[in-house]
Amino acid sequence: MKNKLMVLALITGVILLALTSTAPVAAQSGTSDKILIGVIEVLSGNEAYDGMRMLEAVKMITEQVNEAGGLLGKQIELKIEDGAGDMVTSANAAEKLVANDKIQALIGAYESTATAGLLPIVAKYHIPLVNCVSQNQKLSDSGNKWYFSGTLKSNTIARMAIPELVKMLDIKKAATLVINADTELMYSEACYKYLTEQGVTASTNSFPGGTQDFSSILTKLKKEAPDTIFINMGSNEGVNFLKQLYQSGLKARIVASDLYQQWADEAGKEIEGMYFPARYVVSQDNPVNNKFVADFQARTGKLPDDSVAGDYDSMLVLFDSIKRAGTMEPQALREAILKTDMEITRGRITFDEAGRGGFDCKIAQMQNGELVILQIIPYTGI
Amino acid sequence: MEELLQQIFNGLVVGSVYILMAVGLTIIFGVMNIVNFAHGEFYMLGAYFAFILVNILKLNFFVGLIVASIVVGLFGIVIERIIDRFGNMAETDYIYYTILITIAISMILSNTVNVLAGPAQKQILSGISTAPIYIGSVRVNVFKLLVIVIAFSVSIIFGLFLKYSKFGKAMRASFENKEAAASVGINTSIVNMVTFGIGTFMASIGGILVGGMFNIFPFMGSHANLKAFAVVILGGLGSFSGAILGGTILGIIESISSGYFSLGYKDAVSFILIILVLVFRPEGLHRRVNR
Repeated sequence: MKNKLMVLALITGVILLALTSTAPVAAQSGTSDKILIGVIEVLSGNEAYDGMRMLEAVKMITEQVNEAGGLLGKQIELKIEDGAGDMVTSANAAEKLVANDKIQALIGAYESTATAGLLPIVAKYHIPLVNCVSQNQKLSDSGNKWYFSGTLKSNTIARMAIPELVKMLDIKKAATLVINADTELMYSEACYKYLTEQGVTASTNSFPGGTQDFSSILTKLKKEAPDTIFINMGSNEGVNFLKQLYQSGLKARIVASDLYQQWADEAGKEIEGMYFPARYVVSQDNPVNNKFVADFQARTGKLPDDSVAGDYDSMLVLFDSIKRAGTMEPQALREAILKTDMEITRGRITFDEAGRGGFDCKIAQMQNGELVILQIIPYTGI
Repeated sequence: MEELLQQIFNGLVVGSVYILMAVGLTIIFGVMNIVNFAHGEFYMLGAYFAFILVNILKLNFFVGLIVASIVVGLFGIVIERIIDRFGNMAETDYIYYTILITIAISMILSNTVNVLAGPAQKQILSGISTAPIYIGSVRVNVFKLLVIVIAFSVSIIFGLFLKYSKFGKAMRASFENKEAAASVGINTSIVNMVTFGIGTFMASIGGILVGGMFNIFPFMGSHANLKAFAVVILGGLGSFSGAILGGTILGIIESISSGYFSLGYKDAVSFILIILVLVFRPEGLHRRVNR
C-alpha cells in the first residue's frame, strides 16, 4: 500500500512537472477590462524551434500595442497554450482557452493538421481565428466562416511560381521531395501538375516527418539525375537534408517552398544559390516589414522567417480589424476582418468573402548569404 | 546493382544505430521485465552530453563518446535505483508501474533538455571526415564506416561479456529465472543496476553517433525508441542476438524500400514486416532460427 501511494505521488509529481515544462507561459484568469486573445503555438516537439520564435513575434507586437495604450481603451492579454503541432492537443488547448480563459479571438496553430483541430471549436463558439501561416487550402475551403486564412496556399504558390521558374531556370527534369503530410503532399502534386504542364519530366517523392537520414532517397535521386528538386519540409528535416545533399555530391538546383532561419544558422553554405517561390523575404522593402525585422532582431538577435512573419501578420490583421470594428462582438469583428486591406510584412493583404487572403508571390534566390528578390508575381486570387 | 549495394550500405549504417538502441532495450526487458519507454531519451541525453564535451569543451570526439556514455550509464543506474524500489510488487503491477514511470521520465527528460538547450538542432562536430570515398561503386565516408564498426564492436564485446564473464553469466541467469538466480546467491538487485547502466550506455553511444552523422534535438529519442521497439519485436523480446539480426535486417529493408519504392512508406514497410513476424513467427526471427 505504501509503495502504491509512493507511486501515485511520484506519477502526480512527474505529470505536473511535465505539464509545467511543456507550457512555458501559464494561463491567467481573464478580466473584462482586457481584450483576451488565445495563442496556440508549437512549443514542444519537432517544430518547437519555430514555435518559440513565432511566440516571440506575437508577444513583441502585443507589448508594443499595449505600450501605445492598447486597443479600444483596453490592454491586450495573451492566453498561451502549447498545441505541440498536433490536432488533438491543439483542439484541447482551444477548448480550454474558450471555456476557462474566455478568449475573444484566437491565433494558431502553425501546422495545418493542428490548425484543422481548431476549426470546429471556433465555429461552435464563434471565435475569430486569424491564421497567416497554415498553407493547406482544404482549411480555407472548408466553409468555416470563423477561420481567416491570410497566407498563400501551397498549391496557389505552385501555380503562381512554377511557370515563371521553368522559364527562368530552363528546367527540363525535376523531382519533388516533401514531408509525407497533407499540405506538403498537395504542394508536391501541384508542383508535378504545373511542371508537367510546362513539358518538364517530373517525379514525386515524400518522407516521414522527423526523418534524419536521407541517404536512401539521395541515392535514388542521384540515379534519376533531375536538374531541379522542389522541396517542402520543416526546418529540422531541411537542415539534415541540405547537409546530406551537399555531402552526396548530387548536382541539382534546389527550389524550396520556405526559407527557415534555422537553415541559414545551421546550413549556411548549403543554402547558397537556392531558389524560393517565397511568401516572405526578409529584405523586402516596406515600412511594416522594415520595422518588424528591426524590432525582432533587436529582441531575439535573429532574423525572422516566413513562419515568424506569418504570426506577426496574424496579429497585425487581428489588431487592425479590432480597431476598425470598434468592438469585440464576434460578428462585427468577423466583418472587419473580411474588409481588411492593409500592408503587412509580406505585402498588401486582402480577403475574399470566404475569408481567404493572399498577397504577391516573390521568386527569390540566396546570393552571398542574402535572399534577393528576382521577380514579383502579382496575386490574382486563390 | 550499384544502387542496390549503395542502399545496402545505407541500411547497414542505420541498422547499426538500431542495434545499439535495441540491444540495450532488449536486455533491460529480458533481465528486469521493464518496458523502458525512456530508452530513447537516454540516447538523446548521450548526444547532448557529447555535444557539451566535444563542441563546447573541445574534447576529442572519441573521448566525448566514452565519457558521455559513461555519464549516461551512471544516470541510468540512478534511475534504476528509483525503479528498484518497486521491485517487490506483483509482476503485473510492476510492469504497469514501470511503464508509467518510464513514460514520465521520458517526458521530463525531453522537455527539460528542450527548455535548457533550446529546440534548435545541433550537430556534434566530430572532426572526422565526411568526404566521400568509394569502395567499388559504393559511396561511403569514414564516419559512416566508423558507425558500423563501433556498433558491431560494442555489441560483440557485450556479447562476449555476457557469455564468458562471471557477471555476464549472472545476468543470463537472472534473465532465465530471477528467483532461481537469487536462490543460488546472485545479487539480482546489482544485476538489475548494471544491466540498466549497460543498456543506457549503449543507447547513448547510438545517440552520439547519430549526432555526429546528422543532428541532435530534444525530441530525437521518441522516434528512435519506436524503431528500437520494432527491432526488439522483430528479433524476439529479450533476445540479444535477435536484436543484432533484427536491427541489421530492418535497416537494410528500410533503405531498400525507400530507394526503390518511397521513403514516405519507410515506416509503413518496417511495421508491416513486424506484423508479418508477429503473425508467422511471434517469438521473433532469431528464436525460430535456433530451433
